Amino acid sequence: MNELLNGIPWGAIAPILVLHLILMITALVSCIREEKTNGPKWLWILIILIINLIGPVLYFVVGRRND
Amino acid sequence: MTQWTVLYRKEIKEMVRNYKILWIPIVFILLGVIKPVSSYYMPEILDTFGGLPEGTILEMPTPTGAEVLMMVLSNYGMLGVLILVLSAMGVVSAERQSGVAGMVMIKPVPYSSYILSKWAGLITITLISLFIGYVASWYYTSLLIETVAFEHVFQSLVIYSIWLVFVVTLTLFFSTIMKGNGSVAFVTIFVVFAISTVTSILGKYMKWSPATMTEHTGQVLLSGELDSSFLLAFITTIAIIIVVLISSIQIFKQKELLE
Repeated sequence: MNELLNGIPWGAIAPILVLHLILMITALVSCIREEKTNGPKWLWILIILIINLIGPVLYFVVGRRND
Repeated sequence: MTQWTVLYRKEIKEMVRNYKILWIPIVFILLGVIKPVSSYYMPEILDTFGGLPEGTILEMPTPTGAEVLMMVLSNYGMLGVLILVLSAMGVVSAERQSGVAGMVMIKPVPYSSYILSKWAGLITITLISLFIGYVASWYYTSLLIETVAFEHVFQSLVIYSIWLVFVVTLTLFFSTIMKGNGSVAFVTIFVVFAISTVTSILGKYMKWSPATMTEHTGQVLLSGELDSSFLLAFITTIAIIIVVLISSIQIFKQKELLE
């Protein structure tokens, strides 16, 4: 396991992970601050947290009410 | 002109407020970066998770840098277009339904300023996302696979952005003539894929089609030279964009603002 972890070139992978994290946090902040979302809010929070990359995008496209 | 600037600033402010200015570029970066990383690590990924029987020898040619960038662009052509269309679908139709468009148009604002500010806002976010994402993908490709000449990358970026501008203009047009965000997105995506499919089937007769832009980008990436038919396609694409914009403005004039 340790060998596997050491083999990962973090210089290349870390920015990707950071971007994923930023995307997730932005979606979470937006979701929590929103008064009402399309559908139950707790479900959107779960979707954002669990489904990688697609969850936040789905939330931004479908979950937000744009008005 | 000043009114246009005010409206354009409002567009940008709105994109900041609903985080579009952040999430669309990030998604484009991730879409662009996944390809070079996954093609670099493919042998190891297969090794660890593939479950291939002992002793299997798989000859997997590592793609060249230009090929990787072509795959990235075709990724943008599918998922990128989908995200752009979905995020832009309500640009006019949602504002009309919520009454914001009516509130803006009560003031003596020219219809053309309204539509053109929307268009400029969409173009801004599209070009920023494409540029950042593509440059990130180029950086990773150079890092992991091989360097691709920056001139080729830049040329392909410019040509590809024309295609995305075309797609976004179509979205704006359908958003003007139709109600309902879902139908706007559906019709736009349908039309875009219909144009691409017809162009690739009837390639000989469709040298003028905007969808050939994607082929021209591939060619520039691989050889650095432009096909002679590029000029024709370029002129028709720009002409179609202008015609679609003018007809959006005309149709918007005739529509009831509050429905």
